[in-house]
Amino acid sequence: MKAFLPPILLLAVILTAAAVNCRTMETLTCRWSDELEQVDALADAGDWELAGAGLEAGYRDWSKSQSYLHIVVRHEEVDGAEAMYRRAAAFAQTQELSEFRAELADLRSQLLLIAEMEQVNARNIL
Amino acid sequence: MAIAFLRTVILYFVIMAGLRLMGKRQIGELEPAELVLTMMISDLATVPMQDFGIPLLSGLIPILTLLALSMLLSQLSLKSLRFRALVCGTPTVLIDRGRICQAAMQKNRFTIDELLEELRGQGFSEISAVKFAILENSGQLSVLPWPQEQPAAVKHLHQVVPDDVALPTVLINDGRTLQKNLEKCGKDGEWLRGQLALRGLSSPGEVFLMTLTGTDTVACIAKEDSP
Repeated sequence: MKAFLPPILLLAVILTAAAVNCRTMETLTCRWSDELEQVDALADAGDWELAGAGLEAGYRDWSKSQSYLHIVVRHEEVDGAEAMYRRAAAFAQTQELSEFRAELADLRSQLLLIAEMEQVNARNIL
Repeated sequence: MAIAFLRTVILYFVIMAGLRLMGKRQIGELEPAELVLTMMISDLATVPMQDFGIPLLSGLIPILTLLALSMLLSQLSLKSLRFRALVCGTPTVLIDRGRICQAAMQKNRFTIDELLEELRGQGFSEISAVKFAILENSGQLSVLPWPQEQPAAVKHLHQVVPDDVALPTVLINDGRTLQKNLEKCGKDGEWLRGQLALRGLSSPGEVFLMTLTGTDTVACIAKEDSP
């Protein structure tokens, strides 16, 4: 039985790491998405100052996980979300509501996509 | 990560099953499991190596998964004969007591031309000389001739010969003395110098290969002068 241990342990470690990663990605992207939803509501209410500050805080939170994201997610997707954050910040400065809200919606769906890519379901596997 | 892991597991078993269905003659010298592993690992390693946009983990996770699966299958094959037969297959007799098993050949998609080619390659020009031909799991054909077609061995001649077969130990390899081997044979530097002097050589550097068999027979090949 001893000989079975190394491969079974290795498979168990990979599976556990994969499950933890899936959970972490879900938690992170939900948090970022919630932050963006609050920013969206503030901008809709015309409070651009708080919306800009909220977006900046959200961007800082997102930036903290950059290394982790680059290790586990395709760089193309992470770079896409990064560009959307920057574009949203530019729209917040010029206070263009429709453009800003459209960009936030895109960013939220991009974050959802990143989380979805790591989820274990038949669609992803096949 | 999880997707990479699960996809690798699925692909591994799909390719394994595919190779088993393809039959032995497609495999060549590797066992199905080894071939799958070689094919997949070599391909997987190049993906994150060439595309910097893909995380390294995307390549590492499948490779580690494959290695673990392969180790697991090897262990299971050792424990269970039925599992070994399922994974590696079983040898197939293509010629049974001189009779060609056409059904077995058809099942393994082995043509008569290929059988004759294999037999010729092993020195048999006629099928009638062969008692058994077995297609091994590795895809190689093992040929066992009828007794009258087998080369005569000493026992067939009812002769008694001394058992002087021993593994030669390399003492000098391309000018370098292998001290450990020398000690293992119970010899020392002085004995070695004596052997060299007997052959008109002054140092181990002049020797290409020197071996010693268990019966104290020394074989020495001196280095040729480089052009």
